[in-house]
Amino acid sequence: MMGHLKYLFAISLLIGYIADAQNTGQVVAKITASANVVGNVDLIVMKDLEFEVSNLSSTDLIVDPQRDAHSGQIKIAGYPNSLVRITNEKQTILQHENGQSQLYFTYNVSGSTDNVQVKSILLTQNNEVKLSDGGVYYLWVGGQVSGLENIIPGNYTMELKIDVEYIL
Amino acid sequence: MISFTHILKQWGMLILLSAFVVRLGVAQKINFGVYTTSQGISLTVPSTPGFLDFCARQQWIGSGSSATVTISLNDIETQYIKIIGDATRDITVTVSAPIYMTTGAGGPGMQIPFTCNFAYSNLGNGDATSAKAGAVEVPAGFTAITLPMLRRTAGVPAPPPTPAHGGYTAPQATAYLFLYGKLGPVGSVNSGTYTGTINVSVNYSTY
Repeated sequence: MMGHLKYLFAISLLIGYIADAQNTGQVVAKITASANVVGNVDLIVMKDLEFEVSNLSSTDLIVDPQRDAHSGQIKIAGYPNSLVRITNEKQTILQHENGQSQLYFTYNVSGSTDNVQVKSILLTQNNEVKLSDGGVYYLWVGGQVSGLENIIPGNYTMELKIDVEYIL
Repeated sequence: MISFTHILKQWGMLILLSAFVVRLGVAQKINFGVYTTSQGISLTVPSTPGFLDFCARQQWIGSGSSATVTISLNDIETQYIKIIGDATRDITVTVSAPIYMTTGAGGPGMQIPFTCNFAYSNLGNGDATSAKAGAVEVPAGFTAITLPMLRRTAGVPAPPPTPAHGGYTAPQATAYLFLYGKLGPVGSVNSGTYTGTINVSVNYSTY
């Protein structure tokens, strides 16, 4: 009998607790916390810069990054609409494959959020640009090689250094 | 002959049973002094900034770093909630925040540690800016506080609040709750927008 009473007693306490909970007025607000996180920006070489004989003039070799089909092309991929800083060297050395000769190469780089070369604008050595809604920006690399009068035939190679970083 | 011990046992059982009978009637009690939502606490989240925006503090947060982004009480990015209620009563504020801000499904690589801090101001200020100047920061680790809607700055304690009754309108006061916190260290996580929801509940305190 006592065990049964204990059971009823427990139920009565429970009812009291629920009643209290229902009668306690409470208002609630929700606040959202938000942050954007970006990963590393990617540089994708889409096309190498090429010099061909057809570009050869008497003394200079010129590739117009805004119009010449021989321009190199690089795609920058990152977070949509983010600001990035693009820096590049202005001049580098073209080295003959046998190390017998070298040429000086001066860069010209143009860029656009659209993959349309003629819409690109020339960039300086230090630029701040905004990636597109899709998070991309296209670079075209051209330039000028001077002093071809005494050039030694052969293959010349160089490294183009372009730094891209988010502006935080 | 009925022994004294036997009488005691009989009465003892009767008293015990009557105690249970009385307790069973508690479910129909009348609660005095318990306010409901309709009796007037209102919470307002201003549209500007509208949410706790770590992007406003630092537009782009780099993945793969141990960087942290902190919004402090006095920063303009602090979010606040305006609480309007009975000036004579105490309120209990409960802040429930996740320990991670997440993107996608969350989990490893898709969550960043998040610490939510809050402060209150119950000086009766009319605007958030002046209220913030007198705000009291709640120590880290606390998730609930009880405070008077309107802080008494001097004098003896006021008499007990007037119970609600027909035609009576309690004096109103405005208190502010400020939310801020720390995000990070970021770690190696996926790119994306990370979010978390902070739930703030307010009710009149009962004692």
